[in-house]
Amino acid sequence: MKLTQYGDYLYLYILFLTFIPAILLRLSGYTTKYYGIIASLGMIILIMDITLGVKLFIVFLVLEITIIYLYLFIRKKTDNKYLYWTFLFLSICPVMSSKIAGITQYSSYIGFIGLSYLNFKVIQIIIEIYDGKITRINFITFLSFITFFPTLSSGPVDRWKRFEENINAKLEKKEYIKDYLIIGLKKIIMAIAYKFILAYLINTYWLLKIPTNVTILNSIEYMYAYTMYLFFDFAGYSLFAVGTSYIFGIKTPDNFNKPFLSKDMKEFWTRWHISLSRWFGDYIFSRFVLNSMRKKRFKSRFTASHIAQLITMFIMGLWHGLTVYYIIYGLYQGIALILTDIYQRKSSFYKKHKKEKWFNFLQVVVTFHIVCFGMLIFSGFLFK
Amino acid sequence: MKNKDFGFALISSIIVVLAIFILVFEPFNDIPFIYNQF
Amino acid sequence: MKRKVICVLFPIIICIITVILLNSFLDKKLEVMLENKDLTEINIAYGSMYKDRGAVYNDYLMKNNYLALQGSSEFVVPVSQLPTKVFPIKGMEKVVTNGRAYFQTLNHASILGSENTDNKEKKVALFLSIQWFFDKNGADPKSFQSNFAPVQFYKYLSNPKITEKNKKIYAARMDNLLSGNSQFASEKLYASIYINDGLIYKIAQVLFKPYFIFRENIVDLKDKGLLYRRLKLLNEKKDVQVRDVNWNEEYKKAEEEAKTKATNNDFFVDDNYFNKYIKNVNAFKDSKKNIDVTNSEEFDDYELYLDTCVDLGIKPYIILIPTNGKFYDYAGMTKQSRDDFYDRVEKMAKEKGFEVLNLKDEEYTPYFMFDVMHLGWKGWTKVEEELYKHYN
Repeated sequence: MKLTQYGDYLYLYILFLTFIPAILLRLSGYTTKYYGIIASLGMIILIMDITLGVKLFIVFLVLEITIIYLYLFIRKKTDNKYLYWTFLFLSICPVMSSKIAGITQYSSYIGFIGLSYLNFKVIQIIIEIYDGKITRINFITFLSFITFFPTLSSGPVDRWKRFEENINAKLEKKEYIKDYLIIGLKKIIMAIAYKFILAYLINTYWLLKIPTNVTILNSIEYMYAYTMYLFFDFAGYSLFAVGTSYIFGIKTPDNFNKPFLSKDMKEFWTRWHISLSRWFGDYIFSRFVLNSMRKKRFKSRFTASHIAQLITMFIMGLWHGLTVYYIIYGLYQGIALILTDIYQRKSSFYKKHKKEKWFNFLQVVVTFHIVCFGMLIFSGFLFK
Repeated sequence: MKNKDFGFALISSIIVVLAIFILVFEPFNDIPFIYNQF
Repeated sequence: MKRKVICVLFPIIICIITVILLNSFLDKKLEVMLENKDLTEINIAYGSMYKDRGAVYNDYLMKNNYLALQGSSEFVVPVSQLPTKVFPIKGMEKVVTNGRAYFQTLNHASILGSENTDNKEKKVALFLSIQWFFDKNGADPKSFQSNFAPVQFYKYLSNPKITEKNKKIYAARMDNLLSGNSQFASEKLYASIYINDGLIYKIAQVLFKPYFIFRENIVDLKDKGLLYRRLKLLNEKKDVQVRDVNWNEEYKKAEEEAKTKATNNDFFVDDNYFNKYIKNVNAFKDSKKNIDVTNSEEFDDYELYLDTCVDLGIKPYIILIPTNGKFYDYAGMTKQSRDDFYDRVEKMAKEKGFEVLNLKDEEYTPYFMFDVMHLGWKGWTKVEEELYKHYN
């Protein structure tokens, strides 16, 4: 029996059953680290298919544990760049091979649910080991970090240091109830509303009723419907993941923050799929810019920033899958960010009106449409 | 404090009622939206 | 603290109240609408979820003495002699069809077992197709799942008239056939808990009890809710003139129509069918030579169907659909093996005290079949006449 995480009420009931020990543990002041690993192993068997998925997961786990501890050991001896790149490359191999296999006939044999997100956790650790930020990794804590089931299938992507502090901190009963349990339950109620009510209704009564032939009218309608569906479904999933985390006493960062109120694309990416864009921002964008500045690769820092945006968004597109529309989506987002930056620095109209309410309203509307068109590309509707 | 709790109870009741209505009046469906299967 | 607990319990209480209120609202409304609405559209529909994958509509039909024709794809064959086109007639005013493609005996057993049977005179006719027995494993899971109804499943397993032995057999089949489908994971879980006795299963039974109470009630409500939506769109009942039928004339008409439709081949099958599916006749020579109709899980499912009828006090009329004899001979399946099959399933039914219409002698009657395996112009007329004689 394989269930989709947070996909139906049977899964939700099983989820609620797992809450009971977690809540009791936390109310008594204990950690959920050890119980969490057991519950996660159970969830992994439930969510991944038992014939292949679970086995591949175990292989992945063993591989990445080896890579991390080996590099942890090596880094103590040397900060050699080439060794770092080798280990970094090795740690990226699983998600890369899964994406490449995705366009071949082997797509269902190389990968398991959550691989794309899980790999980020490991890559991030390797990077911070190199930076010197991580010097030791407790094995049990690491195991609980990697197998942490609430965020298993599609994130949000947490970071090692934040998680480690969180799970090892002592949590008083009062603080748990006020700052974790109640908030967690609220998020789960909102998640039900987003995913099982709103996303369901939008899909059944709007999205599925749009004719599939690609005309201008259909595309415009699809654009709005798909964006709204995607938001409520994915934000709903994220609320489930974060809410469940909170109940276990872990403050997994949120993924969405009123994204359609964004006044420009830069702001949008601080409000949509936040954990992912921050990850790409910290580990690809920032590093490329800093590295370029140091090496004086480009004439101006703005050029460096623009190239970095393009590269980062392009990789994000590829990460979704090696298909035409994901690649175009990535490039579209990169170009949108570049043009936004140029516009905001060069346009006198913008500088003149940027504090005015009517202009802000216009910005929100325009940004919303730039977002929707991007999602239209992302959906693959135009490329059938 | 009181209002917040009352609000929580009210909103979750509304959500529960809506969810039940959907379960009762909508046919079985399988629309699994799996973003990033792997 | 107490306030917080009440706030968490409040939505749960609302949930229970809503379910109870909805249930009584739907019961009342359905009772009225079923009496007053013109149900013809649903009754003649092919593959209607209310008849095939529901329970409350079938209860209504049964309470009102409808004859249920339990079959599969023969109900959608394009001939004028279909029961949905012929009935109602004097002497057989209330006839409905149950089933569509990929329905086999297990689905029909579910329908019967899920009904609230008080009516001992329940009229059921089962259209048994030999093709159901071609595969060693009987029903195929994916096809079965497309016709599966959770509400029938739970009602069958909680029907006080059905013996525990039969319920265990039924649950075991469900556990087997529902694999690979997450939509019915709940029912598969329920079935495996039902048939297994180990400690883990006992624990699971306790842990999941609240969930299954919820699930059973919701699927029952869903059946009612969907029917409510459908009935709302129907018109009020109107008086219908019921015609008399002269069977000799019906045969004449059938033959005349058939003669215009089956003209281009030696098998007496419909022209369009011939052109689309078996034009390259040579390709089918001996194509069915290796099919074994003596060893299939479907025999057990058929036995379960018959035993379910015994438990429920229903006497089904078992109609054995023949094949297009000429074609099947050409395809390599001997007349002897087919006859052995028909006699075997006839015997199984007769042993329980049920009556059988064995049509093995019509396999070579021109225009009896529409194609190689479905009743056609004369076949349907014959079956309808026999049904008329059986129930009058």
